[in-house]
Amino acid sequence: MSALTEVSRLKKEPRGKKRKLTAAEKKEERVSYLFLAPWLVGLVLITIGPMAASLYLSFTDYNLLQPPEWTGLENYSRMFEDTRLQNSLGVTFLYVFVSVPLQLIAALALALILDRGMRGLSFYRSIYYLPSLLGGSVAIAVLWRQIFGTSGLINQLLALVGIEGMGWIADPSTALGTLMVLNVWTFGAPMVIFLAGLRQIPTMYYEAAAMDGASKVRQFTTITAPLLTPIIFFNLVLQIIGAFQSFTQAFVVSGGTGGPADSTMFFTLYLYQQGFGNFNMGYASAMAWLLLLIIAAFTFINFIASKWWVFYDD
Amino acid sequence: MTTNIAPQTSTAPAAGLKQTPAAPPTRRKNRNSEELGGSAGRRLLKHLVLIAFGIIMLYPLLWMLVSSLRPNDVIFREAGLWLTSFEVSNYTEGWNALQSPFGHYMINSMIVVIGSIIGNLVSCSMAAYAFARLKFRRRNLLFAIMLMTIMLPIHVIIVPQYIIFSELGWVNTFIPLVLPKLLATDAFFVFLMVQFIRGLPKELDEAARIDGCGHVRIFTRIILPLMMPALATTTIFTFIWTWNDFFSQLIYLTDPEMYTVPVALRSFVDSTATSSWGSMFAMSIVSLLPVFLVFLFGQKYLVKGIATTGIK
Amino acid sequence: MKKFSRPARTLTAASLAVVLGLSMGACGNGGSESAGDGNLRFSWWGSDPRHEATQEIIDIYESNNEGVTVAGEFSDFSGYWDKLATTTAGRDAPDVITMDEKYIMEYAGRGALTDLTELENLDLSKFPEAALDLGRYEDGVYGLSTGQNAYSVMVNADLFAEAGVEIPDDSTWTWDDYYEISATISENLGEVAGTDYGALDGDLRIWLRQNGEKLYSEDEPGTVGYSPENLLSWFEHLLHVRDTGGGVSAAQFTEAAAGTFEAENFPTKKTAMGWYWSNQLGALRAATGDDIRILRVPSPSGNAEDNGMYYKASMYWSVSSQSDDQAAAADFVNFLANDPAAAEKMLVDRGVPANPDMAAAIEPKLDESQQTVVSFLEEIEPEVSDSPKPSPIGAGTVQETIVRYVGEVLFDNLTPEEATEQLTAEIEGMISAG
Repeated sequence: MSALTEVSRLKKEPRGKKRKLTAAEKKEERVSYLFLAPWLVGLVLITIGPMAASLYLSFTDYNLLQPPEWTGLENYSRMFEDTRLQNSLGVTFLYVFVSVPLQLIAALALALILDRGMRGLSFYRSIYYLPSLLGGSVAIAVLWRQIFGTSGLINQLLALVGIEGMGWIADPSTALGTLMVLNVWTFGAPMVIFLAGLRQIPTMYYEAAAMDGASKVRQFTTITAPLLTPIIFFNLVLQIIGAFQSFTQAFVVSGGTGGPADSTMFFTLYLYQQGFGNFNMGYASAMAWLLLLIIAAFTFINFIASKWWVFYDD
Repeated sequence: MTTNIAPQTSTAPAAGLKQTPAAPPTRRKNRNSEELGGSAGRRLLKHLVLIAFGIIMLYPLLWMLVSSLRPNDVIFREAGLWLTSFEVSNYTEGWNALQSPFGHYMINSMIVVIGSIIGNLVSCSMAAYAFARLKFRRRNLLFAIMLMTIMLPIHVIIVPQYIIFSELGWVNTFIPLVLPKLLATDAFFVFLMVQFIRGLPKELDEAARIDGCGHVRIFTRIILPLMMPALATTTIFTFIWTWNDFFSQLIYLTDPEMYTVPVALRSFVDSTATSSWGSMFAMSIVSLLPVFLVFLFGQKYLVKGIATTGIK
Repeated sequence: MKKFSRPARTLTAASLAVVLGLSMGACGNGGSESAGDGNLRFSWWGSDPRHEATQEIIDIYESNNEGVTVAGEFSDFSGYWDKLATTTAGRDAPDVITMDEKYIMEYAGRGALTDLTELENLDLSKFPEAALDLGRYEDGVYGLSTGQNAYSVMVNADLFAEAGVEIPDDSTWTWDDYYEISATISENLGEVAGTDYGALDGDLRIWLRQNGEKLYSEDEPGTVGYSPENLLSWFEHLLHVRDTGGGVSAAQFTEAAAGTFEAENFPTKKTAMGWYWSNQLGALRAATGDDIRILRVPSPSGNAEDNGMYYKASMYWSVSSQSDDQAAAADFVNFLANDPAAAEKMLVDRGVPANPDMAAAIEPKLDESQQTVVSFLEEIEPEVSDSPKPSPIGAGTVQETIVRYVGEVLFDNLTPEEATEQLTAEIEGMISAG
């Protein structure tokens, strides 16, 4: 990733001494900002302000209804004593580490299978995407109970083979697992991105390889896998960011409680409860910035590591 | 593994692309007949496995469909997919249950969705081109900032953002929902497109530059057509995510006449007393139709890869 | 870069200033754009039948009052509170707000609501003092009860019949009767349990009231109003129900606790008894299709006067302090609270009207279930003692917290002693911040 090498280069350059740009470079800069203009305007007008405000609020006691009061680092130091917060961090980390790899593997495998070479693939693709359409719908709350409840589908199937089921959603030891299943089951989004990535690989590579007599496996390892790395990387980074912020599914399935016994209390769900349920928006903002630091650290590590395995053609 | 493929790839594509327009159909056929030449048994097995998985995938939709045809009180008492009665009234009642016919909310959603799609396609691809192909100082800093903007949960952003839009007098309009998309605030798509553009052979733009093309031309004539799969992905995702986005639409739209599909759907549900679940499921099915159609239609563009997109 | 960086920086600074200034100060002018011209915004939560009825009420009001418009805003319960908090923070709250017992002190105590006694257009004279007390904060009344409810035991008469158990006389039944009946039904019906655990703050309140105590202390704000042994005995009581086999499994309890009303154990006929607010009778009959009866809660002594039952305001009408046309808002609330035309549309959807004239006006229009609820509330009136004040500031999530601890106890993850200690500490942590 050139971004990082450039970051380090920028750091090495002495600040005061500015290198003169050539005319061509100057022109490219101007063009760059032309292309970036909408994004920059959005950043300044819509994004940065609220982000900065939330950073400020994280140092205050803010109940949404009255003006905030500056409390310095109190919100941050409070986190050290908040065992529910620490528990929610644990739940979130576990969820990220288990469900992201599982979901990505499922998505990649199905993208490869559904890519080409068979009749009816567009039909299968659409079917396999369906769960992702339902995503955070209220219907999921009801459905998940029908599947994993004490008298749900899973237990009925288990009963057929003589195994006594359990309350998968109700038991604190399995409730998070059902949410991971839900997440893996909605693999549609990364699958679609993988499919698009696969389609960007020029078919001629495969033809050339086939002519050389390369096997399917070899074609995958020498053509598909390396050329797909930028997309795999993208999915990895974004799924991690998304999983850390995971909210809707837990909110919907647990009715907003994070239960049973806080076993599905994701960090953002706790943050939401603090902010909107208990009117501690200052504390919620501090939590949000802690989350941002964690996610940023993971993303940074991802970018560093990508130097060794992501292949770009530039 | 990555290094030894590199030289090979950087020479091949440019030449290959120019000859594409006529080629793909025959190639496709070749591949298909290759498959046909393979064992029919294996293909049958593959279909069977795919169908078996497909049923698991379809279960929620089938269940929703069945629920939408059940009387309200049966939905929660019966698990399975067997229908004992056939209640079409959920559809007629659901359609007319709120102040306007349900179609009204779908039109509202459609307006927001179309605005968002146009916004994301235009603004995100522009930003992505700059990040992926152009050199400018602080590029990496800006890129990092861009990624950071999607790392804060919406729940702490929404209040300050609401204050801005409310001061501008834009609450209860679609502006707070569409304007951010026009201004590329969805870093997900910028990053997605950056990755796709970086996956395109750079020789293409270099050749064009030697021919005297400016960046605007390279962007519109070469990059955009080649990133069709990414644009299709963006369109599909923007459609679905905007169509399902409940929270910001709930916050910014106050007049029921302005409500969108997700907000209208929740209006059937009351956690403390009777909800119109039948109507809710029926209208969920109805509102899924356009999304499903968009996916069915849109995924064809997903699979139109580089091979079928010639350069003129 | 140079060209863009300076304006970019200035813009960033400017937008920062705007956002900080607004969200921090949050005290300037505000409210809806139209100042004092009789354009009102009115918000409530619920499902579509309520939306429809409420819109009809608005239409009547508008046709009676030329030049006044009332814009209704509705959503589901949880979305409602997110939106209200956000709009209030943005100084853009609706003029007339539907309030809930859990949050009214939060909003009143923090200056977001208007003292209704100071609004001239609003006639509170028909409301009994006890009903007004339900919305009292310090010296003002910040919410007007839309109607009353009482927490009660619902029994499924069909399941009782199937189990061969007689429905008890609720004016004399004791907890021992309750345990025995639950256990017998579970035994006789197998699949169906005798009772669902009542585990909301309503149940706890009743238990504490039977022991002469309250959930929240009224003398010492920010502390609980009970002694630990009474909370402890409540947990033990729930365990007793479980251990005698009268209750559903811990798993079934937790599943229902996170669920939706219709998916709970009693509406899905998994139990023969359940704990509900009186106004839910009709919904329960619809959900089960069975003959559901409403009973007083059991008491320790068998004397109904000791059963600790109380009236709760189903919802409240409140007027936002940010409203720039409080006179018009007051007039509209007056219509909602004192006009038979409004009451006849609302019926008992928002509780049985506390205004006796309204209760009388709707009586002939009620269906059988609604009729039953009204007469039940009338019947228990002599026994009902003073009602608890609304939950204090910070108590918005106490109910969920109680349910969470009950789940932990039922799953044996916590002993009643541990749960008592931790729950008390957690509740006090929440309410002391206010």
